[in-house]
Parts: sequence; C-alpha cells; structure tokens
Amino acid sequence: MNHDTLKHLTLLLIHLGLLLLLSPFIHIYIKKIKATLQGRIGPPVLQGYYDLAKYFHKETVVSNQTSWLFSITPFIVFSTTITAGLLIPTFSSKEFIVPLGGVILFIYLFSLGRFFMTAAACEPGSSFCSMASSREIMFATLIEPVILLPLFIFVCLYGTNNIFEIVNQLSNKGITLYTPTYVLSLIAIFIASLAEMCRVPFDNPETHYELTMIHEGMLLEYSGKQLGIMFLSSWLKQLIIISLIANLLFPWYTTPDFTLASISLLGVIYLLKVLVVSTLIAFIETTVAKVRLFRVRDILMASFIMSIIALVISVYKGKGLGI
Amino acid sequence: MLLVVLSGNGFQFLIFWELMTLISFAFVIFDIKSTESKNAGFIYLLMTHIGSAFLLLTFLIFAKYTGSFSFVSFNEASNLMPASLKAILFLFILLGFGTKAGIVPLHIWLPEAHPAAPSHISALMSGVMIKTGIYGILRFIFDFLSPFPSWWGIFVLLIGITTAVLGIIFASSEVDIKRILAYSSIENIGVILLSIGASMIFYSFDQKILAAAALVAALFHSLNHALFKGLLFTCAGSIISATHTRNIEKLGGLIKLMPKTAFLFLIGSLAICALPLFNGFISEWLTFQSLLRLYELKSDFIKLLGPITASILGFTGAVCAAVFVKTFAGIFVGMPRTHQVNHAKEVSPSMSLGSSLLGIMCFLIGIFPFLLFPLLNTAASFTIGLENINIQSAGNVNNNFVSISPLIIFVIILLSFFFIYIFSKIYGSKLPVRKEETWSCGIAPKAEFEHTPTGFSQPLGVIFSELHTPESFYHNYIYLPIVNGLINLSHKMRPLQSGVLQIYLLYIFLALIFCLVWIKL
Repeated sequence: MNHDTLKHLTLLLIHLGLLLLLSPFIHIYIKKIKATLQGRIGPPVLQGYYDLAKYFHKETVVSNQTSWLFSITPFIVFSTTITAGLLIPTFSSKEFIVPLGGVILFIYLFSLGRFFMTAAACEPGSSFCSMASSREIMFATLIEPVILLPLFIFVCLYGTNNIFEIVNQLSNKGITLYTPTYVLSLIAIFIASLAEMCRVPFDNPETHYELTMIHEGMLLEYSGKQLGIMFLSSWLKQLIIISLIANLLFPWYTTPDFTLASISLLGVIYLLKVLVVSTLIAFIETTVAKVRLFRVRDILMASFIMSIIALVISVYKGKGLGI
Repeated sequence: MLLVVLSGNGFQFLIFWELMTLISFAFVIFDIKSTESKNAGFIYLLMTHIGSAFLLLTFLIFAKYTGSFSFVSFNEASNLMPASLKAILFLFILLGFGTKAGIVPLHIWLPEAHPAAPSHISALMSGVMIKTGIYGILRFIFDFLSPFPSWWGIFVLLIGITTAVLGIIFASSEVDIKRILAYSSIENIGVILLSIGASMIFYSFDQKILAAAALVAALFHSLNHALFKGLLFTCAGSIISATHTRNIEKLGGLIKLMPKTAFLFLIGSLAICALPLFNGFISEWLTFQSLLRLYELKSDFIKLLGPITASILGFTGAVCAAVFVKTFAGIFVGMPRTHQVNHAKEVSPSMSLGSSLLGIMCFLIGIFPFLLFPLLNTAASFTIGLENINIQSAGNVNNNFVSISPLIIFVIILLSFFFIYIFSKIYGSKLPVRKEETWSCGIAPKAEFEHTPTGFSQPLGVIFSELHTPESFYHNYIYLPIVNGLINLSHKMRPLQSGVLQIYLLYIFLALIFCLVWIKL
C-alpha cells in the first residue's frame, strides 16, 4: 500500500468517525438551542450518547407478525445512510480513494433506506406504523424532485456530478459565489432538506402523539438495539444533510494538508459551519409551526419554483432579459 | 417478435408485425369466457390496428419515394423527401409505433390487455413486445429519416416525460397487481423515450458521442425493464396461482407463506424503483446523465429542459417507490386480510427457477454493469453512425463529469452492514430477541387495523389529484369524440347503401369511369 492510499484511508476514517460521533451531539444541540430560545433548560449535551447506550442495553422485543424484513431493516438503513455519508465532504473535500458516485447516488441511497423502512413499518400490522409509512412515502415523492433540481443546477453549472468537485469549484470562486442562482438554489435545497430530515414545518421530531408523527411513527414498533440503530441512522442522515448544506454555504477551508494541526483546524472549522446551520434550523423550528399534512405540497412546490427561477437566471444571465 | 426485428423490408416487417399482434391477441382472450378478457382483446385489437394503419401509410409513402419496400432503399429516402412530409411521417411513426409501445394517451389498451393474458405471457408482452415499438421508432427515425430538426427530439422528450409521470400516477391508485405492473410498463416506456429524445436532440446538434451515450441509456433500460418486469410478472403469476386473486387488497402476510417469492418480488421492486445496487438504477442513472448534459447545448430552451425533466424523472422514481412499497407491503407484509391467503403455498422449485435467474441477473447487472457496455456501445454507435468507439471512456462513465462505482458501493454497504451487525451483537444487552403481540391499545390485533393498499396510497392520491385523471378522461375527451364522429359519419353514409342492386352497379360503373378519367389526366 503506497503512501497516498494510506493518507486517503486515514482521512476516510476520520470522516466516518466524525459523522458517527458528531451526529448524536448535533441532534441534542438543536434541541438545546430550541429549549434556550423557549426559555427552558433542555437536555444535557451528552444526552444523545446516553440514549444510544440505553437503547443498546435494553431488551429487544419485536412483534410476532414480523419477518426477516423487519429485523434486517435497521442494518440496511444504517448502511445505506453511512454510504451516502461517504459521498459528501465534511472537513475535507478531497476525494476518498476513488470517485464513488454523485448527487443522484446520494439521493437514491436515502431512497433505498426509505424503501426498506416504509415496507418494514407495515409489518407489525399496527395502524400508526402503516399510516406513518404511507405519509413518509408520500413526502418522498415531493421531496425528491425538489431536492434534485437545485442540486442538478449545481451539477450543470460546474460540469460535474461529484459533490466534492462542486464544493472545490465553489471554494475557488471566493466571495463572488453568492450569485442569485446560487442563493435561490441553496434556499430550495434547504427547504427540501428540512423535509428530508423530518423537521418542522414538515414533521415534528419531538412529538409524542402518534397521529402527528411521521418519521418517528415508523419506529413505533422498534425497540432495544434495533431502535438504537434506527435513531442513530436518522441522526446520521440529519448530520450528513447539514454537512452538505454547510459545505455548499461556506465552501472554504476544506482542503487540509496531511498534518495533525491542519486536520484539527479544519475539523474545528467544519464543526463551526455545522453549528451555524443547526442553529439556523433551531431558529426556524422555534418560529414556524408545523403545517397541515396536505399543505406540505405547497411549500415544496414553492421551493421547486424557486429553483426553476434559479435555473432560468443561470441560462439567461447576461442575455438582455434584464436579469 | 424475433421475426419483426429481423425483417429487412417493409412487407415482411408489416406481416410479422401483424402476426405478433394476432398471436398475442390470442393470449389476451385466453380466458374467453370472461367478458373482461373479451373487452380487453377487442380494445387491444382495435388500438393496434389503428397503429398499424399509420404504419402502413408510412411504409406506402416511403415506397412511393424509393420505389421499393426494402429497408436498404428506405435509407436513401430522407434525401428525397421534403421537410414537411418528413415531419408528417415522424408523427405517423410516433402514432403507429407509440400505440404498440403504449405512450400516453395511446396506452389505453395496455392496462386492459396485459393483465388479461396469463402471467408469463404478460411478462413477455410487457418486457419484450412493447419494445418492438421502441425498435421501430429508433429504426425509422435514426436510420430512415435522419437528419432531423431538434424539435423532434424535444417532442419525443416531452412525450416521454408525460408518459412516465402519468403512467406511474395511474399505477398508484390500482389494486390489481397485474394492472399495476402494466401501468409501470407505461412509465418505463416513458423513461426509455426520455433518453431517446435526449439522444435525438444531441444527434440534431451533431453531438454524436453524447447521442450514442443517451442511446446506450435507452437500450440498457429496455433490457433492464425486460428483466425486472419479467421477474415481477412471474412472481405475480406465482402469487395468483397460490391465492387465486389478483386484488392486493385481499392478500397480505404472504412473506411467511411464500418467502422465496417474497424475496424475489422485493428484488424486482427494488430494481424497478431504480434503487442502487440493482440494474434499474444504472440505466436510470445513465438517463439522468444524458438529460443533464443537455445543458451543454447551445439552445436556451433545451438548457432549461434538461435539468427540469431530470428532476421530474426523479419524481417518477419516487412515485414508483411509493407504488411498489404499497404493492409489496400489500401482498407480503402484515396480516392476511382474507382467508384465501391462509392456504397459499410456496410455488414449486421449477416455477421459481425462472424468476430466480431473472433476479440474479438484475442484481449482477446492477453490480457489474460495465460487462454489458461493450455490447450496448456497439449497437448504439451503429445506430448513430459512428465508428465503434468506447463510449464508456469517451463520453459518459469515466470522465470528470460523471463517475460511479457500483461494485465499490456494494462493498461499502456490505461492510457497514456487517460492522453494525457485529457491533450490535457484541455491545450492549445479551438478552435474546423476544416476540410479542403488536400493541393495539388493549385489543387483539386484527388485519382490519392496518392500512389497506388503497388507504396506503390515499395521501398520494390527494396530493396529486390534479394529475390523477382517471382513465375515463381519455375515453370521454379523446376517444369518445373520435368514435362518435365515426358513428355519425357512418350514419350519414347509410343512405348510400340502399340495398338496391342496380344502384350498387351504378356505383361500380361511376367508380370505373372516375378511375379511367383520373388515369387519363
């Protein structure tokens, strides 16, 4: 194994470790900020880790209606999520070893996880689970085009499908990157991501009323270790999407030298970026109410139209349309 | 079917084309006693004949210009014809072959005829026969009518996206398993037409490598669709023979009784939803790439069209996932909703052998797609008229714009799967997994508590109620006016047929004189 591959592998391991270790923290961080804004104390910062440990030490009970599909799903959801995590940059926008795939694979890996999650949620035969799963899959049909179009605009503008490459090219542009197209597309990505992360105004991750929950509703029949893995996967997904937005928003400082100082510095910068985006999410969650189920379409359509406008601007830029 | 694609001249082509229709017609009315089958057969025969009429017209026009029915001479026809005639021919070809392929709104026969045939025949019809329509479109447009203007490509692209979206939206409200599959065939034809449209646009802009790459996507998706649709139809056949119903509302819980079929159906569903690791993903991914590269062309409208159609393709993928989660969950998951299900048995190994092979192929192509590329490259480059170049390196797969490594992705998923599996075995509680009844607020769980397939897709139906034009829309607004017009016309013609022999003789005489005069002129 030559020196270069070793470097790549080290970066890859740090990347994976960061994602796995940081995701429970970010989840609780958003809760904490929300609590502060609402005048409450909120959970301790390490609550996410305590929760995971608790789930892993509990007994696992499954419904006797279920089959292998139900038990295998947590593992599949976890593995597709972490694989999607390899397709986006965190502290480093250097490619890991070989190019793995781009925007489309990224979105479709989440779909693969979702397919298993929604199918398995119907297994116990509980009406809450199947209702949640039916709503989740309906959301997915709305989210996918809305999140794909702005990403495709980036793909077309920068001539590459690879998210690492897009971030690199963005960072080369300096402060001039904030063009109208860019801003509109990013807002569209952000809105669709809120839905993809199952957050207010689309879904409420903290509700304890079965009829109102969508993502959590699918996990109702999971317990013990399986529940722990499901939670970890959804927190991971949240961190992955936040990292994507953070790195598109602030694409700078993502090319570390292979020294401890440089890597840790960029790690801290990455953490700051993520915290900024998470704080933004917490602010939105505090100020916006959850919308009715069928109004979700209107919000996401607005975001879709925003990205169409972004596309039109990018095509007609400087062509005498007055834009 | 094979003879259709092998035939080298117009006459042979039409004869085999009709033969194909008639033989499949026999299968559609296989169950002759049911009126449903008879209706399906009638619609099928009618629609395909309308299609054939347009084809016959096309062939005759071609023959007029070239003086021969051979396909070789058709190649030269495009230089001889005026542009307006070519445009008309293009529309005729779309109508003629599009009927067979099942593009919206010419698709109405498809969801009737495919379910009526026995399952393995449905597999053949959905997987292969509708592709002869695609073959026809490709052959005529790229071979006989090229060069063509770019609006042809845009037109095909728009038809493709309409077909894909509407096809899958229709499928979302169906509960008959074979109708769901038939509608999803319509969607897949739409996806194939999308990449054909992209290929045509590239071709008209003289971007031959990109055109060939888009064509590879189309051919690859045709092949993949044949595989996974065949798999799904044979699984559906197993389910129907085990439970004697096609209605998924009446099924449920089959995953325990028919584990092998359930597993194969799951693979088929994953492949048809274009999810990673399976063959559908690779070809749909190629389609995405060709649509996105439309942005590189020098036309503002096409620049807009590319990304937008690509994201709508993403939408159809998501709806497809919704449809197949519904179907899979409805058939296999939860509790049996009727007693019919309880005595279902796994099918015999000989029956599942075929579908197992298809399933393995779906998976292998999903992991090792590059093994098939040389074959597809040859076909596509030949159609576009390029030397056999390696598209894989030249245009599509391995340059800066796009790259994908399905094998490595598979290995990573597998590794992380085992990582978390072993981690959960080692860390934490050592208690065995306990099985208990589902908690349903204190009463014993019943099958009525869970969502039925209709209930499952209800939110989807509400969200897309505007798109969700029921089939009667086409009947009422497109076909009925035509049919009524024809009936009116024939009523007006009726006085001509008075039944008096002398008057008929007069007609013949007048016609003869007319012909003679016409020839003289």
